[in-house]
Amino acid sequence: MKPMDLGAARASTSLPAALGQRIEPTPEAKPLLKVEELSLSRGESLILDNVTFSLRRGGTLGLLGESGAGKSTIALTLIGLLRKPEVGLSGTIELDGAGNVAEAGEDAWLKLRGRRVAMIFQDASAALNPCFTIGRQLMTPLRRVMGLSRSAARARAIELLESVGLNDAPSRLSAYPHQLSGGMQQRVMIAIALSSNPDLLLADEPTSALDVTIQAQIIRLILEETRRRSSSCIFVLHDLALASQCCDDIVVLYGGQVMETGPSRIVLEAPMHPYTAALKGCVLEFDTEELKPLPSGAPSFASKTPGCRFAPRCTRTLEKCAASKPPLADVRGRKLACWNPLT
Amino acid sequence: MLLFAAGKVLQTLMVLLIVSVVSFTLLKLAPGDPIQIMLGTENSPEAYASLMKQLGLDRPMVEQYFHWLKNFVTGDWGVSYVGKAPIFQYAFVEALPVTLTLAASALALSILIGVPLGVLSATRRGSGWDAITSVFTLTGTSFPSFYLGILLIWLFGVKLGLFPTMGFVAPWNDFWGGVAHMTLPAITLSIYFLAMIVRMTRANLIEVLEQPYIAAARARGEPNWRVVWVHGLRNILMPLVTILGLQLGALLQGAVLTETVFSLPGIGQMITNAVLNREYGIVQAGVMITACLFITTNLLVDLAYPYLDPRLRPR
Amino acid sequence: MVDLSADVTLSKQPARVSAILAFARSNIFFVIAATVVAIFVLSAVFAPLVAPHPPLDQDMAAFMSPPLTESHVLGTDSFGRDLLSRTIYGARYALAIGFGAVLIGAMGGLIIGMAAGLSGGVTEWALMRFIDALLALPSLIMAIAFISILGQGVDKVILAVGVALIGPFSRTVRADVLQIKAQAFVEAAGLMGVKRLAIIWRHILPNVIFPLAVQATIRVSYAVLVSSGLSFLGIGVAPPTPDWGLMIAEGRSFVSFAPWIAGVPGTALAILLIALSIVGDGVREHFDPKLRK
Repeated sequence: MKPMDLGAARASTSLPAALGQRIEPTPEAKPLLKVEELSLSRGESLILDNVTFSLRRGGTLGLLGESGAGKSTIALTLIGLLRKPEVGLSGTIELDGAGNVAEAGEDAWLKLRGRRVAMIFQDASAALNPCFTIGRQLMTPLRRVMGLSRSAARARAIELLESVGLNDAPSRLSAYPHQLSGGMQQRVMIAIALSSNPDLLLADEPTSALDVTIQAQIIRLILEETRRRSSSCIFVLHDLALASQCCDDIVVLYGGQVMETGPSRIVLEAPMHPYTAALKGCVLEFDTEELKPLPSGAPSFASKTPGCRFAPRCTRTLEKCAASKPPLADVRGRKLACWNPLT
Repeated sequence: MLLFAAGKVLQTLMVLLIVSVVSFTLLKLAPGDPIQIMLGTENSPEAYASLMKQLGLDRPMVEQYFHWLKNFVTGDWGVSYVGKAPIFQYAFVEALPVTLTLAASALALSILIGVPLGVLSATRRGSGWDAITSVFTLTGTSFPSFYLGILLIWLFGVKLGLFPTMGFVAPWNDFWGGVAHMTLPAITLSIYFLAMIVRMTRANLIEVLEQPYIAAARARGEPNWRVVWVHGLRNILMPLVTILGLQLGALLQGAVLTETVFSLPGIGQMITNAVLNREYGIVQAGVMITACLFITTNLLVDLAYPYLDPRLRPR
Repeated sequence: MVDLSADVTLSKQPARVSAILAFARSNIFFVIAATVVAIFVLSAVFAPLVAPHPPLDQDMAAFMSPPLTESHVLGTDSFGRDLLSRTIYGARYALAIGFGAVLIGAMGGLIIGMAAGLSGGVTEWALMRFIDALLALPSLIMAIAFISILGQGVDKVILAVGVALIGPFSRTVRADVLQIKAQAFVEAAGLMGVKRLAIIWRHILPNVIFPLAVQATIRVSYAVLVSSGLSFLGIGVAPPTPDWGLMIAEGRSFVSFAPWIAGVPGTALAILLIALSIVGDGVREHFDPKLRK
């Protein structure tokens, strides 16, 4: 296995390809997930504005953007933790075999969460209940969701822990989360999430809280395990280099709006949207001579702003950018929402 | 782990020792001459001197203290001047069980009703229900318990005639009679705790439910009731027990007042009557019992912490 | 956007008033409670002017009259004494005892708490155990124990309740001292060669006094509760002092046919305690987060 090289943002061999198990998309294959015109509002703020993307079976998708761009919001909506009526939701989320889950009630979601859709969180130390043992947190879903008996669940739990790379699994079962290191905690989370062989795994910045040396291991573990189960994976990331390494497709978000989306190789090697290009310019590589930071500012989430939310910070902004929102259009192998793209 | 427990026990013993010294000093500072009181009309210089020698009151203070301490630990608490009965019998065997029954009933009532109420109010924030509970918690923690007792007597005893308003019936002798007599006192004593528990449960649960591990549990498909009642509740046990430990003093204090309102022959009434009758031996016995109760319960709470929060266990 | 440049001189006076009104609107309960407390305090201070009758005056022709009897708005007790007047004077005793006791407790707590927080080693450990011992007794019971030595009376009650409050105060003072001691500016002062006593006086003490004052305001209601509890038990102030606890105890025997005798002072006590509680909560919310968190 080729060691993961995080420094090369322009690597032509992405990790999925290196694993030699790239699933070639068949044109008529129905996507696992199709998000169309998803808008989410909370009070006066429009947090997601007409987000559109799709995910095919077995593929990996990256939701890329700065903090507050709405990436985690999308993930939480995709697992039903943000629903009507706590938030205002419009648009559709088509999950293959479950219909439009944007309209689903809590009962429908209880059948999906932990079974067809699973999620791993950013800070594993905070996402594991400090008062329960690892074993209990791992075995409860096995027994409740999969219906295993106590001894079968225990055996399966040990299997799962070993498959995510934890040695001495039996003693880990009786350990408490605070007794494990950050990397081990995240592995446990992955084991729990994948225990039901979900169709879709949501990984919300799974390595942000970990040391750089552990990051690569965890990402590889996630990709290997999802490949093995033929699961699809959505990564929420703010790291462009990481996105290029582990995602087939990518959605670039800013202020809750989709800026550019498409196969990651195409979008990241030859970005057309000024924001994507600017993000790329911020990545530090071995041969970087000059860092080009973005002009400062934060997006406005007021529901009344009509145009592109990146316009205030964009170097290529036109008058119409603030006035009306550019539609997401197919351009050169990707989808782009810009009035004045790069060529 | 054992070292931790041993350290705590040692601390406790030290505190008990200090309390005993304070208690002994109190007794010595009390006005009135016990020898004179005991001799009464038979007072004479020779009788005085011989009784003094007999009681060991002519020895140096430190020696008297240790003599007293030895007596205390072995259950020899002296004799009451008024009732002529051994104080130990009066205080420990007769009065203490009454107070303990009252305190335990009130505590059980407040926990069994307070925790669910607190959970409900935490999960239905901003609703009318929540508003009612916050008014209740505010009034409940500041309302004078002895007045509340009188109000309850007036309402349930006088106007509605539902419950007896005085006296104690031991539940181990007559269960339902005991329950009937204990109902109003237990309710009176529990109100403060009920309000405190509801407030603490609500505040802590709201904080806990915002934690990532709760969202993670939901993401695993756990139904809402399990998320709140299993995951959520387990994590508020420690702050709750801490608060209860701190409020134990208020429980004993309230018991004293409640016993007086409902004429229950417990420690509270015992101490009050002793002060009025200048029976300092009984006052001291009451003080020592209360302090020991409080200290031992705090010790138990301290020792329970590692069980409640695994992060506190020594690795 | 509000145009702030226009009419600056004209808008100065109304702005202050509207700021006060805005505060009142968002903290309506606090304002109501504070007003109630103010009413009690004023009636207590001006009791001779406000009360319709002298508190010890007995009107035997009208004894045990219910409220709304002629010239006795809230009724009379078993000695024919006007309940409204006695309740107003009762506020005097309640507040005086409450403030007095808190003062004693705060000062004692300050000394012991500072000593415990500033010392180290065995002294600190011993003082800690001493504070634990003080806290081992609930305030009421400790007050009872002291009353047994001191005897009854208003001044004895103030002293007894005050001493009983030393424990809780010393605990909070010690915690504050430890927190302040750990802050960088204290360490910096020490490194700059400032003498230890000067550090205590100039840096630590001022930062302890303020939260102590906040705690004291909060504990007044507790002191009132404990002292009226003592009087209720019959071992606090002596009759015929118009103390609420005493009045409630006196009225207890008549609760079946003359409930107002206990009802009037009881309601007054309850209202004052609840109002003090709300004010205390408001004060704590305003000051504590900045101090402690």
